[in-house]
Amino acid sequence: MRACLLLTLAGCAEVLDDTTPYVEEARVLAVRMEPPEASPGAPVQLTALYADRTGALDEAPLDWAFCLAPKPLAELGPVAPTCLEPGSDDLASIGQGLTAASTVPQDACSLFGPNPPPPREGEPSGRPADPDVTGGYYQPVVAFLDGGDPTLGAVRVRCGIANVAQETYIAWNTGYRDNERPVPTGLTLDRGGAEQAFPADGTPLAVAPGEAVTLTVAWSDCPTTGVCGDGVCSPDEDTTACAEDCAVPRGCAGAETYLLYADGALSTRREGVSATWFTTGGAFDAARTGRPGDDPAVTSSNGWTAPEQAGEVWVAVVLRDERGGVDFGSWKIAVE
Amino acid sequence: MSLRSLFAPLVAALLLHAAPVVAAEPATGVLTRPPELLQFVEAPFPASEAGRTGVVVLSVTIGLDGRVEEAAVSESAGPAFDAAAIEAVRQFVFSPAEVDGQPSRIRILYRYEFFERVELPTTAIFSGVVRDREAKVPLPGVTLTLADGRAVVTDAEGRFELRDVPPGPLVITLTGERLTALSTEETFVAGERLEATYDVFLNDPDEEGGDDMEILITAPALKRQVVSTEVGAEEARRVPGTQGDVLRVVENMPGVARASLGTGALVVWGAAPDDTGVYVDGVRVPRLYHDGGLRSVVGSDFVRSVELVPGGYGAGYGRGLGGLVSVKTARFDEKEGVHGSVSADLYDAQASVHGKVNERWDLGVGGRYGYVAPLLGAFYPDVEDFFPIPHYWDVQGRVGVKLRDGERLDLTGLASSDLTRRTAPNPDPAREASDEKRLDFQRVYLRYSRDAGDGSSTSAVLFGGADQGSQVSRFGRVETSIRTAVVMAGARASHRRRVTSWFTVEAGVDAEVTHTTVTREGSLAVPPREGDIRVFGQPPPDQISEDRFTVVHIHAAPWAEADLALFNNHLHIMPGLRVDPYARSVSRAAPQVGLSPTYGLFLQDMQAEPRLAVRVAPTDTSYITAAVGVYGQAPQAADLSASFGNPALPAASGTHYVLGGGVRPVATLSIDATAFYTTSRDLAMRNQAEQPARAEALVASGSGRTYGAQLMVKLDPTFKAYGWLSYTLARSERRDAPELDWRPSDYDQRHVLTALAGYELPLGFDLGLRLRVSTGYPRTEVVGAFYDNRRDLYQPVFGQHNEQRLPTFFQADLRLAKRFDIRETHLDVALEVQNLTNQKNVEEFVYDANYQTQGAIRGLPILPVLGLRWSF
Repeated sequence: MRACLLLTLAGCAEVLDDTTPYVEEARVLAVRMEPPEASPGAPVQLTALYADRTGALDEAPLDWAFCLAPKPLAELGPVAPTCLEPGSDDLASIGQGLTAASTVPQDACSLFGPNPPPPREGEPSGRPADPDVTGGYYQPVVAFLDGGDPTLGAVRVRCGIANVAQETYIAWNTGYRDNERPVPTGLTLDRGGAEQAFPADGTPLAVAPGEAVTLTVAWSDCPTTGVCGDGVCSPDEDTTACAEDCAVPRGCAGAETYLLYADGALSTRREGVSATWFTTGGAFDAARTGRPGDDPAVTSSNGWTAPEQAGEVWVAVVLRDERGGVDFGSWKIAVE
Repeated sequence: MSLRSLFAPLVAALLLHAAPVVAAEPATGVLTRPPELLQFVEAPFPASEAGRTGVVVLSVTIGLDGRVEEAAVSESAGPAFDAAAIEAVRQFVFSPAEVDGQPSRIRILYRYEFFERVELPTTAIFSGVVRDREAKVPLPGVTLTLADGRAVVTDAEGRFELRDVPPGPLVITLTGERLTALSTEETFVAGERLEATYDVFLNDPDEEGGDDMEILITAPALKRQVVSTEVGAEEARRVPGTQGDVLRVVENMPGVARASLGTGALVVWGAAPDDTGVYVDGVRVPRLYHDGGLRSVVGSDFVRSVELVPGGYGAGYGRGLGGLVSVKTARFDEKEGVHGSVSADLYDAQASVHGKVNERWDLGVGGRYGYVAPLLGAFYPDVEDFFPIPHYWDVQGRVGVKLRDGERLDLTGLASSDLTRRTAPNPDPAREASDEKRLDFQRVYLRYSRDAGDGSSTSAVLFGGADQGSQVSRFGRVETSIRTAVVMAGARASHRRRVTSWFTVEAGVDAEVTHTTVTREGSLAVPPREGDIRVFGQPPPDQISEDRFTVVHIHAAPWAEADLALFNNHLHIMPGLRVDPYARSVSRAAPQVGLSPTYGLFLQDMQAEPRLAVRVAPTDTSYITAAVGVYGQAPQAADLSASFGNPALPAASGTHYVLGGGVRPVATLSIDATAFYTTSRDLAMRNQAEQPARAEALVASGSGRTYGAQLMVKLDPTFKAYGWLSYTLARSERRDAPELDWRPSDYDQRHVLTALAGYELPLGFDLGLRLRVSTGYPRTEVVGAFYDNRRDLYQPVFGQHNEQRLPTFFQADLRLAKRFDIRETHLDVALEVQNLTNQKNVEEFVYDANYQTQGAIRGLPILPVLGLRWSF
């Protein structure tokens, strides 16, 4: 659809439809990092959600590689352009297929983090990378489809915080919990007030051709304050205060509360969660929905209109949190 | 023109040439010597016979002494003709006739013809009126001196008349109080009356370069600037497409690129908008237009004229690599009584009142409020969810006092406010975007001026002011902001002295101190800089930094300029020199590292800026000019950030080369053409190094060059018609670093053509039409995209830098106005139809989410705007 918003003053802006939810050609819809945040040298596994018009595929012609080149300051894109060129010297291959596993490069915090970059002969000390709004730094990873089209992923690297007093660093290091990815815990289908949950065994739910329904994805409800015994090691808990939760620090597969250093002080902030919707048939009202960090709800809904033709439709939802955590789920709907 | 009159008939010719003299009686001998008419007397043409002709044959007896003894009608032409002929002939004296060698009485027949005589004129009549161009009021006391020395002074109605003007071309000089001597040439035809109207700007003697500001419709005064375009308020108000806003006429001048819709950016000769200085009475202001470009920041009733100097200007101004826009404010001591206006249209309403309090004091106030945002909001509550709608207002005030003749003191205040905001809601909060931009400024200045009356003048302006600007963008939780607070003070003073009739020197100082507090947070990529490769609406990078620092700039530039007028003013050589020493203090020289204390930076430097202009006028109606000059510009305070820029950035510099000429084939038509070439160096650009050092996000590695030509054909607004055609051909290029190739700059608009014309119709209607055609600005083509999983965004892949262009722009605007005289006031009603042909101009490219489809933001559709203005 193209719409023209006509106003007397501002002119006419063409509104172009977002066609990305509709899956037709085989492509990478998302990349899941397990864990989503890791220290240099720690193992990490990457899995692509690779799908075509039939739904998710079990195999993918992907070549995975870590990018080893810092992004030039003048480059306004998210990664050094050389890392988007297959076979570049700035890439380190880590595997092929739907999934790849490796360890986070040891120098990730120098190349992409707050540590000074490796010195170069005859040049002054370079400028470290800037963090994102959550205080995070990311090791880029690239998946080339059929040796060509790149998809850019990123592993959040625990590099600490820079330019703070020692006590502040210690407080952050004690209270900061590595990110957990938000995991979809279920999808429901609302047909005019009659809400149905998709069965866990993958049995599709049925809708009529052309029927408009509401799909709602849910994720884990994470505590906003530390309660010992809730299974989540919150920023204000530690092994002393709550060994039960923090003996092995555990995060939460939803909208976590995390420690952030900003404006010269430590504070806690709750993640927002976004849902990206994909389908092989029909149409979503919006390509993406979500909840901001200050919204306690743990669901996100989207309108979906079934196709006019009968058949089985594949639907996927990719959840993302602010700190780079990604996970996804998929379901089937029978249009009959 | 021929003059018909009833003068005496040609009698002598009849006698001498036709000579039908008939010798009659007595025929007693042989006529050996006929009488010869020695004294002819012309008979008056009888008034009763007007329109008729007549022939009277008289029988004339000539005595021995040659006198007429008797005259009798032989053939009558009527009593009146007969009597006149007899009366005249009786006064004739002949040489005595001789018969047989002896003097003798003789009788002859004399034919006297009466006919209307057309007197062939040998001189012309020169008459007309001299008016104040702005107020259109007659100017008494203006002396018009002809080259032959004769002069006439305008009467109380501003009118003059001079008879017996010899035919042919003559130089006319206009002189008078507050009117610098102006010369023009008129061609007189014998027997014809030349009716001329001279609209002139009264000279403001306190202003620098006052004589530059004269506009004489039939002959512009000598301009000190080699290339400039100046338009008076009244003429500018009539230009279609400006909605009566005087200063918006600048966008129609040669050398000015068409701004993108809604930006109001002033791009002159391909220079960045920030490179062109905007001055009001010599005081720098941060902008000429409110956001959106709908209105200027100074109310039209406060504007006397506006002049654009795109380059090559004199030593009095500096600190800018681009052009110069000089706004001169109106004076309120020129008309008795209280005057003012109230106006309103679709966008805003304004009011002003001004006048003389007494013989010494005058004052004026004015203001404008833009209500387009609340107006649109009433109909479209969510309008600002999609489009940036400008909120703006401005006010002006002035108190002036006449100290002595030619000596004034004025206290002026200006203030302006702009706020533009937009929120783009999204079901995903991580994609909700908003922008808010604000810029307020205030200026107060005290101006002293003195005109000695002998060609010398002195002016001094003390000014102070403040700017408050902010630009805040949010994309999800990524907020980027830049806030600046500027406090400034300065002085501009100059003295001009006419040393001899051919040598004038002017010297002055241009000093300014600014204290700027800058707070920046967010991405280095926002706001975008010239040369950034991006597309409209592209989400900014989410890597953030922050910085808060202060910058103090101190400039004190002495300058001097001379004007050598040689060869009877046919050659002017104007050398100038400006020396601009400056000092800079930046509170933070490097990004914070650990807990180490911050330290600042202090640097000082000096730049010598020689300027030279030459003007040759081979004739009174043609000229050739050339200029070369060095110019400098301090870096923007925001660019001196240790995190986002570079505190040690040097001042950029550039050179202007200008060559032009013009002719005035007829009194009301001027043709001016100028070729230009400008260079700039040490421009602040993003650091191209793979691993830049701290505090070097920007480096002075950029170079620029612009070359092209501009043409202005202008029909001065005499009598009923006016119009002009301006065309600019320019190529503006940048090089981000010495090792990189030249590329089109973001402001490269190759062709800009503006044609406008107006005509005063009967019954007080005024019709105007404006046509604009311009090349689109460069854009970088999107050749692909890749998916960024972390941010769930497609990121564009770009082709050659700035090798794509927006489509050519075309727009026609029509203005129909009608003035109603209501007692001693006027009501002007103007209907302006913008984009008459409803052209769907592409103002910007937009893309879908994965950059597979390109769309467009299109310009305004056909839009009628009705405006009312009541003036008194």
